[in-house]
Amino acid sequence: MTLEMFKALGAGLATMGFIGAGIGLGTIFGNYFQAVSRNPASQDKFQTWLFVGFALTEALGIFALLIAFMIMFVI
Amino acid sequence: MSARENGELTMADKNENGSAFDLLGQFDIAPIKAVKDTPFEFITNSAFFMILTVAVIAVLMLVFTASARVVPGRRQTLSEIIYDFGFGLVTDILGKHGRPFLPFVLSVFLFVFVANMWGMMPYSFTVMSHVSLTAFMAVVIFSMVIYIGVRRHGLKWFSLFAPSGVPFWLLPFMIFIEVLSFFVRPLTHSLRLFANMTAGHIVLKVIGTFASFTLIGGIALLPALVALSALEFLVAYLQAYIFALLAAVYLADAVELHH
Repeated sequence: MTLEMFKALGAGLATMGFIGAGIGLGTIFGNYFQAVSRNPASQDKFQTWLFVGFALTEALGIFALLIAFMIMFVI
Repeated sequence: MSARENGELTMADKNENGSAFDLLGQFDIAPIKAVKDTPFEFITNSAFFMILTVAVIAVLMLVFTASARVVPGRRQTLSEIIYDFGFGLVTDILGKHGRPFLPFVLSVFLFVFVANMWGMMPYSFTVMSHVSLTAFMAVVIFSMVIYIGVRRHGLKWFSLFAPSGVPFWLLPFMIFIEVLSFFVRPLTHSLRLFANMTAGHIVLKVIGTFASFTLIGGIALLPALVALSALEFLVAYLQAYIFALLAAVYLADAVELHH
């Protein structure tokens, strides 16, 4: 086992942070579709904030990706 | 060391030998061929595509609105659709006070969107795949928020970090969390765009490399490649939209203090 192997292993493990982001995004979009199918007139009102929530949730996954990048290319 | 003597390769050796998988080579910055060994060597492929992006936006918008009429023609309608899109985005989030920020937010959206679209063209360069550029744009927006906030509200603006209706013993923690989440904004703002564009193009390259190995594999993977390219076009638009949307959301903190 060399240092490079451990680096690759660590970077791979670090991307597991996207599990949480995936669950969060599923919740957001699922609830959005539920809200819109119950009240189709509200679609325009929710759409902007849907994407804001999408971006903020994805940010947490991107932190995990940042750690993976740092392990692979910086350290 | 013993692994190398046994004939096994390390990761670094594999990267040098397995040239078929040059995944990051598409993001290399180099002077374009036309200006090599001339004084204009500062025009790299990144700079070239940025100039091209700005030129396309400026020329198209100027030409489309050159002879503006009350009843718009086809070309004027297109530019009005783009304007309406930006207007809706800004007024949704900033309200009536957001009108002065419409040119800025729409420019940011158009720059990111057209640059991403250039990146989808074969043999072109994806400008937004470099964190240096996206980080610069995010830091400019971040500084703008602080400057406009202090300019409009004075020192009262810093009450943004102290949410109202919180028990006093919880306030120090809330202020800490609010300050932290404020200063982490340019980081996520820039990394989202950079990571999405880079990851998307790497995935396209991986599938494309697999497809190029054998004829049967190429035919089998063609639908997947087409679908992935379509997805990348969607991501190119969506990330530009989210970048401009978040710029507007961040600017909303500076424009209006709501408690």
